[in-house]
Amino acid sequence: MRRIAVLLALAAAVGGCAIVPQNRRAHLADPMMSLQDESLEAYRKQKLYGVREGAAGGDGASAGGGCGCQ
Amino acid sequence: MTRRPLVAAALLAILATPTRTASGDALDSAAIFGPPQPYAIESIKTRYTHLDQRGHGYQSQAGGPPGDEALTVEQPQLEVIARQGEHIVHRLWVPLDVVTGASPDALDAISSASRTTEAGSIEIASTWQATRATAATVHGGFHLEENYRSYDVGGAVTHSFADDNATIAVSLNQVMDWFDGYDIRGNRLDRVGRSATNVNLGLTQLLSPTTVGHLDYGVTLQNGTLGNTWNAVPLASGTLGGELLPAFRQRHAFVGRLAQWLPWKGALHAYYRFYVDDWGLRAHSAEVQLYQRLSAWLWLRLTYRVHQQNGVSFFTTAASPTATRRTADSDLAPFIAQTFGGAVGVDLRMIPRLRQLYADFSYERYVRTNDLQIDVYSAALGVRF
Repeated sequence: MRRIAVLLALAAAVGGCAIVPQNRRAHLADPMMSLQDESLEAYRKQKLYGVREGAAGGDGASAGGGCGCQ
Repeated sequence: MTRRPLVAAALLAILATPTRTASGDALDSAAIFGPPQPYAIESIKTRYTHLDQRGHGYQSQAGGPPGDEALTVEQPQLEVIARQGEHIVHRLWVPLDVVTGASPDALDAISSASRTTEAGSIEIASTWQATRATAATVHGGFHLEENYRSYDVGGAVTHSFADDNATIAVSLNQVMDWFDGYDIRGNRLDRVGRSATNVNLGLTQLLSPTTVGHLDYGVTLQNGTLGNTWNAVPLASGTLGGELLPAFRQRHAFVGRLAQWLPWKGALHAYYRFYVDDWGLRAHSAEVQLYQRLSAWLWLRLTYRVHQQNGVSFFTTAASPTATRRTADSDLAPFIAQTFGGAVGVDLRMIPRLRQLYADFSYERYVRTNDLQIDVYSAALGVRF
């Protein structure tokens, strides 16, 4: 729990260390820069790896449940 | 002298023509300043994926040991996004799975009745944009499979701050499963169940005009029957026994993502994930994706992923008959997995009535060191209105 608390504190601190003005975000707005996979592609990958590797969960998604056995 | 009236007439004709967007939609004052439509479909997407798996695992009774794990999966998906008023967006998502196996399960140990398993889900999510910076999402769904029933509910809140330079997200998910238990000989035992409770906390941060990063932590608590009940385990005596798994599992995952714009109209994505649970499993996953835009309507993507896990502490292929915990499931074994792949995508903007029609096709090969190989073909088609 201590490590988690330190990690979260660091993550929160990062939030204040860089400011990118709105008019300098042209490259960031390109769909290629999206950090999230396209939604149906994300499910495909989650299903592929979640069912076949015993290490699912996190990254916004639950582990186990539904079909699959892990 | 006679030219002036002609020029004036041409100018009037141009001015009288309704203004059109690139998509060809007419824009008038009602469209711009009028009330929003009460309900409008924003996009429809479909994706079809075909998986061809080959390999062997000790949990399978199809020949062996180790038994055959060959199967194919057909996976169509449909997603519809609809907007209700100015602040609410709904998402309807229907994924299906048709699995054709080489009889690796207990039902097929005595019959071939379940060689093809159809599974489907219906998921609905609604997002309320409460303020410019804060949004809340609730979702729920139902999953139906040969001998499974599953329900899931959940919610998430996102909040942007520092002029949208940072976004935090918190989500909570609950999954409940019920399914028929069978022993390794295919005899029906009883109806069993399990639950999974999951909490995630994420932070996305713009790091520079060309860099964005993301950190995420998720914990999942599982309780109940955490296996499928019919996986076989080879015993030291030369016979087969059933899996013996703990009834509780606590799983932690830490994720870091980074996207970097490249000056030649490309992007580099890096992903790392560390996983640990109380079954003794530790795993490291890393992925690199390289995007390249070839034109305004064509892009390419190359993918490489590696995953290493040490296996659960009670994995065995020759269990002691007196062991209180045992599994021979190849998914819980120590192994290294690699994925190589590529994708190509097109935005078909030449159709004027559609603002965005797009398609992509991808191929990936997944190879595991404990005898599992999968070829994955996937194609998507989507349209935004």
